[in-house]
Amino acid sequence: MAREIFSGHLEMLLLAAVLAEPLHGYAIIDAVRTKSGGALDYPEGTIYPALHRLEGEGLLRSRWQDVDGRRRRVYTLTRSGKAALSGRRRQWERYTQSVAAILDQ
Amino acid sequence: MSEPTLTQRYLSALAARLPRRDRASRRLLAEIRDHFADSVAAALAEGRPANEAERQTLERLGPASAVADAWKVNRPRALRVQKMTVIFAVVVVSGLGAAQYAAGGRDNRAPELRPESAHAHARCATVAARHGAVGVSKPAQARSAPHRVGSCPSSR
Repeated sequence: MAREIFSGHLEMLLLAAVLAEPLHGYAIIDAVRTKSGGALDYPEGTIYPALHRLEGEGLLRSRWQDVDGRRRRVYTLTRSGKAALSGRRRQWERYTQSVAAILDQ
Repeated sequence: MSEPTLTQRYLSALAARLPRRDRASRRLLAEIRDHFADSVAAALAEGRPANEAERQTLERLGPASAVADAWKVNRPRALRVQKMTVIFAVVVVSGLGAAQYAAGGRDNRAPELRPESAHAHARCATVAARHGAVGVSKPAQARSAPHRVGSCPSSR
């Protein structure tokens, strides 16, 4: 169930994970898993191709960087990425408000 | 020679499913390798035994085939477009080069700079002299109508 819920919003979650600070792949996945209370039931290896695509779309940029003495690919949210995240957040809020309105009636 | 670890087998299986000589897929493999190291280290820090830490990491990553499939689906469009653009540019430049070679090396200089232009001026001067016109064959006039090089401008 969680996978179906998350799959449609994976991009938004990945963009949100790097909003506060640049992170490498494992840290992004760990942040999403931890903040979702372990609900991200998704093969973690498939997250990397999604990150590459977001980078290809100009929403993220990445570079090799030393983190804790090791070389990692670190992802940063671009200006376009911030705008895209804001748009998806608004869509998500409209969606949850609509669903809540129906469930609460 | 020691037997490959689960991690090495997984990476080999994934590498076999990705395009070779592709910088982006090499980067993906490097990131998955880093992911393994981080995930195993985190599990060890939680007190799990090494084999259990590696097995948990593999489970969370998902099958190598799923990662390769996701890679094919998500392969950045920009990279594909970039690759196609480079191929197109190489084809066009090669085609132009071949056409020029076939034409025997065309003179790309401006018309007034070509050797035949001086010859044309000389010829027109002769024609002008015959008709009594003065100055019709000045180089400036030839420059103002470069498409007429090779034929004399009309006398007024």
